Amino acid sequence: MSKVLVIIPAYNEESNIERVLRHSEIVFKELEKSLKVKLDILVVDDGSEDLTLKKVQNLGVSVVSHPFNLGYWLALQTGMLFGYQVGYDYFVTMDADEQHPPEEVYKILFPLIKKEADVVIGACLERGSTAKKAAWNFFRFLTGLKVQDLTSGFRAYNRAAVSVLTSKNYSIFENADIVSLLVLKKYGFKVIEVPVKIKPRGEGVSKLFSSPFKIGYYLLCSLIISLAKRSKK
Amino acid sequence: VKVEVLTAFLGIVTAFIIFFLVRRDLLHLKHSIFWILIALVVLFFGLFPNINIKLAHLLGIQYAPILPVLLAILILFVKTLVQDIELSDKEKKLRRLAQELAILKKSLFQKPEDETLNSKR
Repeated sequence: MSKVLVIIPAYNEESNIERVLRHSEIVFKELEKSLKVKLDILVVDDGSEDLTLKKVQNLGVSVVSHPFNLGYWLALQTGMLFGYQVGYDYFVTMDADEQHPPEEVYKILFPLIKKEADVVIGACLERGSTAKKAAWNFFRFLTGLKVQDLTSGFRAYNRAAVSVLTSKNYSIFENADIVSLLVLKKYGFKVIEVPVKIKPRGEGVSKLFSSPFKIGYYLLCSLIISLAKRSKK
Repeated sequence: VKVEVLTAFLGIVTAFIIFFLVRRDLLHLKHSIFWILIALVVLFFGLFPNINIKLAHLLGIQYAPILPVLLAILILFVKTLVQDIELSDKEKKLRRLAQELAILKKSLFQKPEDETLNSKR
């Protein structure tokens, strides 16, 4: 039976994490039966300063806790690193802010188990504002990537893709939604997209895009890395 | 005070500061080599100012005193870039160390009977 690790990075998500985990556990029990897989949840607490860690521990859900805040990508990478070392076959990444409904996990997991791709992205183009869509188009043009939803964090990876993404060299990335795709492209992995529903964020504000300065910083970093890492392949 | 004396003095003071920092274990030996070399170059140009004039003439620089300034900017530019590369490498290692520590902590405190990841499931 294949083993799947669902990685949920969390940073100061005390207001959402319990609901996400309780709901996911119920949904995943059903999913285990229908897909005939073993599904485990791993929360990666990214040095939260609130009660996120305590709440996850109280629920008895498995958690890895960073000693200090390392950022979204590093939290994902820690989860992948752990899962890879333990021997998981498939990896799903989903957010701790209720945006990624657990009911949609089967949509991204199913093609992976059927060996239709190495990486499956849960795409939701409706969620993008005009500005966001313009940014996606720009980065698609810049990188040559065929993926429509470049910034979706709702993804499923097989073991081979994870073995590459967990490389020590990639610990240097800040936000790796685009650059991880460039790395996967460079190594010739097959990446497909499936449409999924994405809900509005639960409580609180986005950590990544909470101010114009952070958005600007994100865009600038993405621009530099896109230019530096683009390949003709 | 003649500018040559001042420059030579600066070179000697720099060398002394570097030796002091190495003696107090405040500066890594590999970094001290760079600064000692800088001190020697400063001392050399201070003691032999004519070298600077000849070198500037050779390079087609009309105003000779600008040569050491240009060289200083160039060297500091390279030094800063090298420092940022080293810092990025350290950051990479620190991040991986933190990740490994987090995973190790989990393995240490994981209950032996907890075969699966989610004990309550």
